[in-house]
Amino acid sequence: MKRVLERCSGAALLLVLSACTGEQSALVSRGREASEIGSLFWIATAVSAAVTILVIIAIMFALWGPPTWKDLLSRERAVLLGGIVLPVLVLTYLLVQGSTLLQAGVARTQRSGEPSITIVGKRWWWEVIYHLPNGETVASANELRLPVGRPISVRLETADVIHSFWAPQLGGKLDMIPGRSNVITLEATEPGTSRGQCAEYCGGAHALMAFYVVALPPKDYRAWLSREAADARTPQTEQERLGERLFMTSGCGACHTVRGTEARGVIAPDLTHVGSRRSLAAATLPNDEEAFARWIAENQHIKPENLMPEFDVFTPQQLEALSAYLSSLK
Amino acid sequence: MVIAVAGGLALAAGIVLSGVYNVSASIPHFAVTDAILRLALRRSVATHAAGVETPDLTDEGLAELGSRHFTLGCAPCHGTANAEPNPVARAMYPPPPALHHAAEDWSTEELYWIIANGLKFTGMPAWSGVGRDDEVWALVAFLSRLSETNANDGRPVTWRETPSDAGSALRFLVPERNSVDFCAGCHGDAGAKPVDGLVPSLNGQRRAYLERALVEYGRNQRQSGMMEPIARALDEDERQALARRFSDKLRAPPENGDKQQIARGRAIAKAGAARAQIPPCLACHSERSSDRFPRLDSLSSDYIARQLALMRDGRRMGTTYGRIMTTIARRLSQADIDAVAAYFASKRETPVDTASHPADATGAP
Repeated sequence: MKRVLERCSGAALLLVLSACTGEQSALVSRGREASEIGSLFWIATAVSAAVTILVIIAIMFALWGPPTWKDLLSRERAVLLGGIVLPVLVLTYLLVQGSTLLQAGVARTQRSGEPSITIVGKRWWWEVIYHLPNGETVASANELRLPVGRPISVRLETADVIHSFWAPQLGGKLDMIPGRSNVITLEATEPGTSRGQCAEYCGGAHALMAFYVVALPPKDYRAWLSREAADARTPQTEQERLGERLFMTSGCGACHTVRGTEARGVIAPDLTHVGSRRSLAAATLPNDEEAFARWIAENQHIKPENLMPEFDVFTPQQLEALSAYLSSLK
Repeated sequence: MVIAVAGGLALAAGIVLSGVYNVSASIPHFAVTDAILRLALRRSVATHAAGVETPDLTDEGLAELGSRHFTLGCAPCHGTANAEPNPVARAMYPPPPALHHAAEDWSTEELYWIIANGLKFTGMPAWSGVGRDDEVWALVAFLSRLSETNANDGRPVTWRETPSDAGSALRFLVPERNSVDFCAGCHGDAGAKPVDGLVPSLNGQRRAYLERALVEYGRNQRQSGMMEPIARALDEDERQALARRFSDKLRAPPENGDKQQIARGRAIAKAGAARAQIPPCLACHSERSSDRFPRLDSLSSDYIARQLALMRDGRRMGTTYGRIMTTIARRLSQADIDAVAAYFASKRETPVDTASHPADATGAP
């Protein structure tokens, strides 16, 4: 019995600790805001620990200490100092620290003058809109790319219900509220990929509403953004051309846009460069041809209640061609 | 007391287990058994039909459609004014009743319930089109009119001429081979509209779509008590031939609808409504799209609206295509449905030469 308990607690501990590393751990920071939140977290933890220890010591002295200590602790002054002055000091410190942190980001983006990014939460995916310096916009989905070392102001909006944007290794979480535009500042401090997800229950497929954040050196970021702004690549092989024809004649363009083609839907994710993203269906599937085929034909099985109907109308060859075409949209 | 009950039970068990009771269809029930069974049947129908509400049955076309189905699907057993029922059917027990006065014997709600659900141990089947109440009401409309004409001693206009062999052989809903006229009887022909809004015009419809619809009806994937048995009797060659014949025909002239409604329908058809997640209809239902998708501008507004309502109510979930449209139909309000139906029915332009259409060659789904 004891052994079983040990094993269970061991497994539980592993489960808990597994959240401490990995691409979505809040204890690993790859961003300035996240590291500031991290230090605030450790300060708050340390102060809480100190207060707890202080209280325990005071209780011990009150119970078993020498009479002089008991006398000292029972005076009114001890209650005033320990019960009012100390909490006011500690909590004020934490409040000031926290508020400064929140304000710091805004000032930084104002200084840097980098163009902003808008993220619109939708059931159950993220529309990511990059604003270019010339005023144009580039729509993408389910993946946020950031230049390292540049504070970026990210506007958070929603098209339907309340969502919450949380990229733990970049910054804190912030709700997306209907009719409002909330702004968060994110500054990546090192290149690399991390994961984030919707942190406010938003209905059916909420658990599968995630995204990747890819931080790139500024030069690479600019090169990527100019590629992202371009129209879709023209299909090269016979199979890709068949795939494109199927895409255009099967109604995919009713909801999806592929810039540079007649597919101009506005309901579903922009697929102009879908082949270059890290994942499909809001970080639900890896991005490969097999995943495209599975998603098209059985997406309700993979991500129940998502708003795309299953297109189980293709032959295996047609599905292959369609997947090849979508994968080729780098 | 106890002895009496035990004795009674033993007697009942003896009768059942010995097999003396004759279940043969050639010997009538005892008068008392017959009376009890009839009473039970009447009461059961009356009780179960209590929640049914009769829709508007004044549409002449609805009764006409019911009449046509009656001739093919019901007359072999029930007979008509001009034709005795089939001798095989007459040998059934209980014999299927003649229905000249059905509407006097039963309320419209009860008739609906009987046709929709069938009757145990009588040979009366339930309606095979699951969820197609709308079709059942066509028969009720026909039967209630039948009584009216009889009562007024008027012409029995609603009795169709029975096909010559319908009375002499049990031939349920089997079309004459490759008979375009047979289909056109309900679906209309060049110049003639379908008998009722329930029925689509097939003229100028896309070939691959027509074939697909026949396959789906035949496999019980798409529900219709009228179309399923007919489609099931067709083989592939016949399906192809019929689809080709109808797709080559000219479409009927456009309908005149309410201008405002048409404008609203046009907006949804062309641009959709992103806020309600409604994609534009024309993204799929256009000449450039797969020929498995139906051409909507050859259909009546009534038919489009009814099918969208069926999809919205989850009655077309048997096929992938139906499920795709169900997702979209559920985002449409009744006003949206009426608007797009009015738009497509008014849109019909020039007849289209389907044979030379390029999308037919892509082999898209």
